Amino acid sequence: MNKDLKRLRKEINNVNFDPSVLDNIKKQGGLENYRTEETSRSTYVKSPRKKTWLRYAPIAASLCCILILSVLLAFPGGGAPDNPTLMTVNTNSLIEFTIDENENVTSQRALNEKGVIVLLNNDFTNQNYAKSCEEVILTAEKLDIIENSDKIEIMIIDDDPQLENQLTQKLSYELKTSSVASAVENDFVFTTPMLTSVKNDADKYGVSYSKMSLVNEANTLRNIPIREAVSMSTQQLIDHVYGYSESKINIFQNNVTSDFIAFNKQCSTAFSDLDTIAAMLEKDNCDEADYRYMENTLRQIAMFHMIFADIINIDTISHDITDGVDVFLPKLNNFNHQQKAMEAQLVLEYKSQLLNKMQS
Amino acid sequence: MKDKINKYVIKLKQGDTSAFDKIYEETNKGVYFMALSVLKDRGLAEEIMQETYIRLLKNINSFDENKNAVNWLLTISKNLAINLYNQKKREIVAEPSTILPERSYEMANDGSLIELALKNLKEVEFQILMLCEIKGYKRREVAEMLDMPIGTVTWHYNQALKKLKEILIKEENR
Repeated sequence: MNKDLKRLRKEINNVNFDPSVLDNIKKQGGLENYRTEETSRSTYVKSPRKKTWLRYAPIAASLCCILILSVLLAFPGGGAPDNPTLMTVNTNSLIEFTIDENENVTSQRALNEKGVIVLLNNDFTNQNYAKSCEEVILTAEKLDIIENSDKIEIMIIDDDPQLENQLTQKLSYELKTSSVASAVENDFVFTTPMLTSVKNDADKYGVSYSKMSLVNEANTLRNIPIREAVSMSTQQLIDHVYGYSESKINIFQNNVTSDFIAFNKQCSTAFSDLDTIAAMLEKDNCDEADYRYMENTLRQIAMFHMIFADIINIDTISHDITDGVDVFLPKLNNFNHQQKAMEAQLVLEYKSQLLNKMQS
Repeated sequence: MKDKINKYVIKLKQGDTSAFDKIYEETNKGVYFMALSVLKDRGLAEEIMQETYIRLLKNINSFDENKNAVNWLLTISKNLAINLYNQKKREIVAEPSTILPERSYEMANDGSLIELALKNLKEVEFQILMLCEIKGYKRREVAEMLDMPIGTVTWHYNQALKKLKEILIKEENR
């Protein structure tokens, strides 16, 4: 279906209207007169002709839902320590990684709320940067931060253009052989398009291609003069471009983390209670008080999360426990064996709920 | 999406005429496919698209800034298309030789997926599929545009894909 969807998107993209349609609308809608009037009052400001590189910005914005994954490389021989390498992956949440000379993640930082959610319970430290990138994309997909039709932009930034290019190529190759390979093949994941004008500017200012792109964005979005932006560190540029606010993110992170700890505790308690109930049922010498305890506990667990609804039907709990031990106990044991997978599912659903809350 | 277009509409309302180009650029395909879903005729759909924007310009001052501008545009387009469809139907009663609007897709059938979808999907399925695929709008955004629950949008979207897939398999086996 992916192939057909791609074909459909192509067909939709090919639907174009004659420029005269727009002129006609403006004419009939009275916009031409309006404009003349505005111009004569000198309040109508004609948009200056966009610089060539600016053509790239809106394309990037419309193609990607933004997840910035910035990797700060701390290679001893790489970029200057105050201006390390960055990798950006656009999917709607902003994440920054530092990586060492072995291309492993040494630290991670969320630059926006969605980034905090993606990173929640995910520690990429000591993991290969490409693998971390792949997992971030997978998590974003599972959380619906990116959907099939979204495109993800990946950008690596380093003062050393060679290193920047080398890492980009390597990442591109790694992703093509990863679990997100189909997305890569379908152009859903791609590295920043190379534009000659940006390349020329990069050469002029003696910075890498990707840094020049960031400099341009800082200039457009934040009105930072090009020369000033060029002298900034890549991290400073990222913070400016993506409006990073440390205090805001810290507050959100603290709230989410404490809430998540409580949620995790509830999960562990639920699984441990299920273990206890399984053990009680196995003994097969339960008295009425035991059955009452089991029933109450199962009711609480069932209410805690939908995922438990598979094994606990509130309407038939007492029947399941008392009469259906032969069926219920294996079901319970089977569920407990899958605890790890279930926990991962619970975390994912928790994150999804957080996102929904945020969006509403 | 909603916020972006709303901002442009507000700018336009305040007299920034350059905002209209942005509104048009961002929404023309959505408006066009909405009309096409009803009329199933590319030429008529394009006419409705033009008329929708003319209405937008003429009624810009009555736009409620708290409302979803895309939803507003899509509703205008859909209503205009339904009106035209009804008008054509009346003309057919008076003049039976005229081809029914709902059959006109056969004339334009060029084997494209859009035509296939138009021919085989329900109106709402076609609208949702097209809106989801134009610039990759999220289902949440499409739900806002159409003022529908996300679950309903997802259901129709999946149904549309399922149907298209089945049709394509059938076509391949022919």
